[in-house]
Amino acid sequence: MGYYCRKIGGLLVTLLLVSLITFGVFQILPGNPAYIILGVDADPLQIEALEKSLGLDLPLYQRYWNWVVGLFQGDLGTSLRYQQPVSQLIADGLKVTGSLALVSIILTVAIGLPAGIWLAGHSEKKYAVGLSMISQLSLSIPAFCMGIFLINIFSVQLKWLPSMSYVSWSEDPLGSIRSLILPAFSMSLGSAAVLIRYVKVSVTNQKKQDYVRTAYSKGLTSRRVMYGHVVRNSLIPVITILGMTVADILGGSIITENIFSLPGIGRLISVSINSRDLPLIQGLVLYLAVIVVICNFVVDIVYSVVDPRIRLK
Amino acid sequence: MRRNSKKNGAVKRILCLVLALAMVVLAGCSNGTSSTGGDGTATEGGSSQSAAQNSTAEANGTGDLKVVRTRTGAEPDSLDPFQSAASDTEAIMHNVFEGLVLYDETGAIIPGLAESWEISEDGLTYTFHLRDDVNFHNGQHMTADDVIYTYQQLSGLESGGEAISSKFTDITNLEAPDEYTVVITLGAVNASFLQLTKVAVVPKDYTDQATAPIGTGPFKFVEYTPGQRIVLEKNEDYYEESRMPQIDRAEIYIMTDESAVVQALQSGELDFAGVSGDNAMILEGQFDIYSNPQNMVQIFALNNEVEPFDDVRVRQAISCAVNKQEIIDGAFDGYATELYSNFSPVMGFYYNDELTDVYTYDVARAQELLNEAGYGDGFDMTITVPANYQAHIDTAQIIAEQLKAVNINAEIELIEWGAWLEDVYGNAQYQTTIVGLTGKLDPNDVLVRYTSDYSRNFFRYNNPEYDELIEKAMTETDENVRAQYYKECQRILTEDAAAVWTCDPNIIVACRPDLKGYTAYPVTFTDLSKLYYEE
Repeated sequence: MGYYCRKIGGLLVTLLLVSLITFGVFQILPGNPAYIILGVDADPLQIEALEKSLGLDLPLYQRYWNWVVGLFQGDLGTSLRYQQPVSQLIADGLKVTGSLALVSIILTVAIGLPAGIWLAGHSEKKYAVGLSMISQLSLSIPAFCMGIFLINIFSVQLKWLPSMSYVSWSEDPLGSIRSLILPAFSMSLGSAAVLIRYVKVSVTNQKKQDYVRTAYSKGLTSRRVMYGHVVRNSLIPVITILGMTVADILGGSIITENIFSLPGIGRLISVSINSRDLPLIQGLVLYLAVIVVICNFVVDIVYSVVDPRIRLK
Repeated sequence: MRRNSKKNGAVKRILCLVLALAMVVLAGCSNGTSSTGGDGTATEGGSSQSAAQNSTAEANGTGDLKVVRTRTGAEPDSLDPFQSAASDTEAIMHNVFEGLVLYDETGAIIPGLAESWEISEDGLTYTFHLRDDVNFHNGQHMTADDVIYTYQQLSGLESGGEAISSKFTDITNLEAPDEYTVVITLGAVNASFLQLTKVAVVPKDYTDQATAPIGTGPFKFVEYTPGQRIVLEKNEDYYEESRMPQIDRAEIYIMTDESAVVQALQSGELDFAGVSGDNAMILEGQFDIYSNPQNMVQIFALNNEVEPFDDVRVRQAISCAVNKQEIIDGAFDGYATELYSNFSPVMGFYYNDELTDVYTYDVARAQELLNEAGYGDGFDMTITVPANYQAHIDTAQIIAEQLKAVNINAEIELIEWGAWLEDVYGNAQYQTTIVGLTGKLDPNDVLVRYTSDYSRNFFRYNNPEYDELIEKAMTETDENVRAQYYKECQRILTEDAAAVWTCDPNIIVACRPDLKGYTAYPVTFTDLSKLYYEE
């Protein structure tokens, strides 16, 4: 119980600090939201009216205080740019980024885990070197590059899959998956490559352990040794990596979402920063911090499931 | 041996899993191909419709709706016409909202909601005769009451006293002698006023414009999904047969990435879209390319208050040292028109065409002028460029290279758009900058930027003679005399080298070959009503 309390306490302090820093940074950055929203052709009276309606005429400390008070009442405020509740915008963005994350993570695990295990067992083979090289290559190709590459093949040339815009699950489940395959694939190739390398190293190390020899001498089949002992013990570092990847993907990819024109969290982040939309940025920072903490939390719990010797302290 | 075979078994299982997964993915693909193959044939003019489209699928379900999909680069600032100022928003929403007057593709004023108008001798009273067959999108019939309400809001008369736009504060009285006549009285002569009445007329007492805009235009607003798209549909009830839309639905996708736009065009997910010059070359052949001057002025602004640009000879020298043709070829792939003052030749009637040889590209003359000004050995300067406009960045690089010939060492500083708006545009905290000023239909809106009391005169140009001319042109009711004044204004700007005007970059649009009717305007307006699919 004390463990959870400490975690939550730490979370609150982190959030407070992060929100204060964001608030501070945005005071130093030049750029007035009203100017940015209305652009070069704005009429001075329009700017004045907009500033007033956005509450930008209030002093800084008061705006921060209002935000903190609102937060404790469950109100993240209203976005300056979109004139919609921040919580609504983040929820909408999360639908997109969340589905994208789900598909990406399934792909990452489906590619990374088997390939890593296989490589660990066949590192001496010639074609293993080839596979290693492919994973090295996909690790070094940036997601945006992979994205453009995939769009070119599957949307432009073959015309199999759409390259832009998101279709919601409820509207059209098949269309939704189709719209997510390319972005998810371009995001998961890199993380799958990371996973492959971790799994490979981890499995190779475990196979050298004494308990493996003991297990074999006990007469266990190689499959049981592999999946009952080796893989299970190899999972610890893999889970750490996976936790980080999940947090990363849920945090939204600014570049991938822009290339595939997906209205997710990454898109919100870039719009909110470019338009100095402070309430939205604060909401997003809060969201990101919560995501990271939750992922770490889940990782801790999964550790103790995979390896009962690890206890939450 | 046994161990080995078992191990192979495990590998086989894993391989099977991967294969199964690949099949699921492929099944998804092929499924899509077959289902959307049907869509392609169902769509009007759908010969090049790709399988990869979901957006038309729903529309096609209800028959053969003619859908046009295009792109905008920015989120709308506000859907409420009175709270919006961004030209990208206007480009779309001008299909939804209309004013008393409209403009045609040459920029000339044509009747809109008013079928005719009279201006009194003294230029102070405008009488508009409204059409009697106009309904708003919510079914409400448009009368003089709505027009009066609109102008009360804009001018601040009787609406709590706060004007929405400073351009309308000249209005002193609004009257409706009958249901279809509106009389607007001004406190001072304003030669631009008629042109201002293109502002949207909104239904009386309707306050939800920001979320559910209601206008009178050929298209009705359907939905706006932030970060994704704006959807408009044909207004079946539209009053003017000659502007009746031929398509049923328009979907405008918000896409920030230029290469994504090109790929969406190629994959058939967009029907037409504005593209850059180099991308136009890629798309040529597969698409019809329309390239038209857009009445924009790309300006290399020199802060007239900052040393050494406060010396007219230095500004003139820079004007001579910049080779505009190189910029047009290098930054715009040839798709641009050279400029000599802050005015595009698209605005033919007011354009001064005698300024082409005031400063030609002449390095020797530039050097001479710099010697005279005491900068014979050159100097260091900074070009501050908004980082989100690639063409301006390219231009800055070309200019920096050209200025080396006269020993001027220009350093390029990229700043973010928000910072540019505040530091450069708002507070003139800069030495030189490069930006595009969007076109206006009224010459005053273009040239007033250089008057000393204009709040956003970021050139910091100050010339009493110029101010006076702009003032005179504003109150001149004879259009020919007014045009003479504006030509004179352009001459003054050019001779003073208030800035270096490089070019009017073309607006380049790539359009599906069977989609016809794309029309360019001298302002940013995507006219959807003229588009049609070839049978």
